[in-house]
Amino acid sequence: MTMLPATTEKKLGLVIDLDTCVGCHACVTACKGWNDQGYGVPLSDQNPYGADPSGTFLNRVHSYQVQPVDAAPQTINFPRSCLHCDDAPCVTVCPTGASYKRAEDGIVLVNEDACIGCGLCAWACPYGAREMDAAAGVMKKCTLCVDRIYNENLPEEDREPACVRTCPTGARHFGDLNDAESAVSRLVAARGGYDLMPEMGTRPTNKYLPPRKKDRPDQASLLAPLLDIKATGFAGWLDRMLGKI
Amino acid sequence: MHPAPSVIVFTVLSGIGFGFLAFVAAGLLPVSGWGAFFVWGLGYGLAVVGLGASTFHLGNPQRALLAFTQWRSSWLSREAWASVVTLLVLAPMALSDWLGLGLPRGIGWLGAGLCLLTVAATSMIYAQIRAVPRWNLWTTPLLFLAFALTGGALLAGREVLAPLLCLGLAAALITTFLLGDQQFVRRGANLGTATGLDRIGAASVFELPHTGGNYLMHEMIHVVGRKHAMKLRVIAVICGAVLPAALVLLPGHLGIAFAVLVHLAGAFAARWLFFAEAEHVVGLYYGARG
Amino acid sequence: MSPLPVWYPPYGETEGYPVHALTQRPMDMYHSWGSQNAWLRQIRGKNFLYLPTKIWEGGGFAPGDYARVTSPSGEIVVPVAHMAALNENTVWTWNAIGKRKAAWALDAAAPEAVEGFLLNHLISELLPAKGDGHRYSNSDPVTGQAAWFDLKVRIARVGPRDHAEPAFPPMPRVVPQGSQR
Repeated sequence: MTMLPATTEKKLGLVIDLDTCVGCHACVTACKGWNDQGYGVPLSDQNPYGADPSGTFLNRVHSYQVQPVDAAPQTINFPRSCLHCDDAPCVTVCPTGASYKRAEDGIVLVNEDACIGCGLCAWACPYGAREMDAAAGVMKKCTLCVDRIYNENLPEEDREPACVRTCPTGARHFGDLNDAESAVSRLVAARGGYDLMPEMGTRPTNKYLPPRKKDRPDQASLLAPLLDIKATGFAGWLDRMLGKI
Repeated sequence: MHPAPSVIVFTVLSGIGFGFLAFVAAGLLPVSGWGAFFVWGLGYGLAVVGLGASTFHLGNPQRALLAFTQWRSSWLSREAWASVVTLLVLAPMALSDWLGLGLPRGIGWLGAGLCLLTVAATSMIYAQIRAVPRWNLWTTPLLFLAFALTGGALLAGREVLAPLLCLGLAAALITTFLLGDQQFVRRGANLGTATGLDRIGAASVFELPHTGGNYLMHEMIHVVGRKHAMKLRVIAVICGAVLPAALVLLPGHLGIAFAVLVHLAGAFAARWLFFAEAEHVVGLYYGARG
Repeated sequence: MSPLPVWYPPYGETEGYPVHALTQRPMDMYHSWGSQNAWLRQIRGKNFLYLPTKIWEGGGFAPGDYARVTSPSGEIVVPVAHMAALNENTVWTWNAIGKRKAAWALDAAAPEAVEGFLLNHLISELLPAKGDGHRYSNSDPVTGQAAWFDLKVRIARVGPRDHAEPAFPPMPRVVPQGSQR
């Protein structure tokens, strides 16, 4: 069903902390590994041992360098995967109903049995969340590990997306962004979490936390707070008189 | 965007097919009997071959019938219905012209309107895509309709209407190129907004997420050299509009044939550019568009 | 023997080799995980020598360039890339990406074998002679692992190339080239 639900009870999604991501690709590896064994067709690769290998991954980590106006440049690592948008364009363009958004938790999924592989959803997504699996001829995307989060065969601590479970620096968080009291919502509020490409009108559920401000070497002095103290009362008067001599 | 031959053939042939069918259905060609059979057959043939070509783009074409189910939200689904309904509505008119059944021309006028709706629906598949700023503009449906009507008029040998439509097509092409060139910047999407790192400073790519290729880079990031693009734009306008306007005035079927063949060359060039020059915002993450 | 890190000036000559060269283990390759899936190659199938802004601009480098990197012990020619957030006297690359042609059941034209490279060729197997005249192994005295943070080099631009040097012929295959995972 490619009509979007008017609202969803929960808005399950991820919060990605760009301050603590070190670009280790553990989340990329965990996601590809988990989706080799779960439902559907395993994520395929083409020419995996060849001179020009390519393949389907649901989560990718980019690396950027950022030059602030008057501070040292920074390297920022940037994981990119489906943002499970509220107003997901990939859902409405789908002609077969294979692309859908769940009303109970807002997760956007692909029904691989209905997908004809036209690729229109990939064109519609500004974030490149969807890749065609060349071997299966269907579109694939982050499932928010829907086969883990409700799975009672897994121990409770494993009932979260594989990428979140594996992140060694705690840069990935999972929860209900519709619940203002949830840990992820409070994190977004405290750190100023933001949407990617808000001008596209997709209203993403996933949020990104900006890197924290770095110390400036010229301001790192321990004595700096003491330099601004102004004397008051008699001492202040004396200070001003002496300054005039 | 990667210019896939199947989609280029689909949109060009189905466009001229439905455009031609509109003229035929409106009774603007004085045909009857086997002449009508040939003319209607040509229109149906172009439309059907075009639609058939689109299935080569699919990863799982055997499920293609499912594409009719989501007309409430999907332009591709609506286009599927529009093309089928149009061809069905036109059938009695076609039979009437061929076999002299004398059915009212109103059916044909309805069919002609449905032909144009089908072309418009096809164009909306692309025009709705916000992630491709060059497509997401009123010029896209205008261009598709201009091509369909002009191609149809040329194929129908309309000696006054065709040159006029050619002029309109040339204007539509040039407008689309010029306005399209500004769209990406006007939409304000850049690496800064794509990553949110504009909060910190000027961002650029340090390292790509993978050294192996992937679907996104192959499909969505296609670079055309500016000189190459300029040449193709000129071909699109000259062959698509200027030359056919003159060629269609040559006497007989040969004039029409030349005009249409030259027009199709221009149409293919224009449609190739439509895909090749379309920049998808996901390219920003990979460092396209600086 | 203390496990705590210490610092001392590099052994051997460093005059004329003003730049420090380091390596990092790639987190997504076999040094970090229990096994190696072939699809890990797609993440990092070739490596660059990362140059800080001062060397990048001072040397007139452009994207796609290679550089000749010379140490007291050897010389290599490798692809380079610019890294802004990098100490201006240091260059670095990823370990273990460069592979011998036809190794690891890969195609002999694999990027790992053609453009990938190791810094190993710049580093001597043996330390300079000690007082007793012996030369000890240039590796960790407990684990035997080779990990060097005292390598000093100089860099010169050589322009665009299509393969790294030294380039050796393909090695004989002990297993056939892999075709599926």
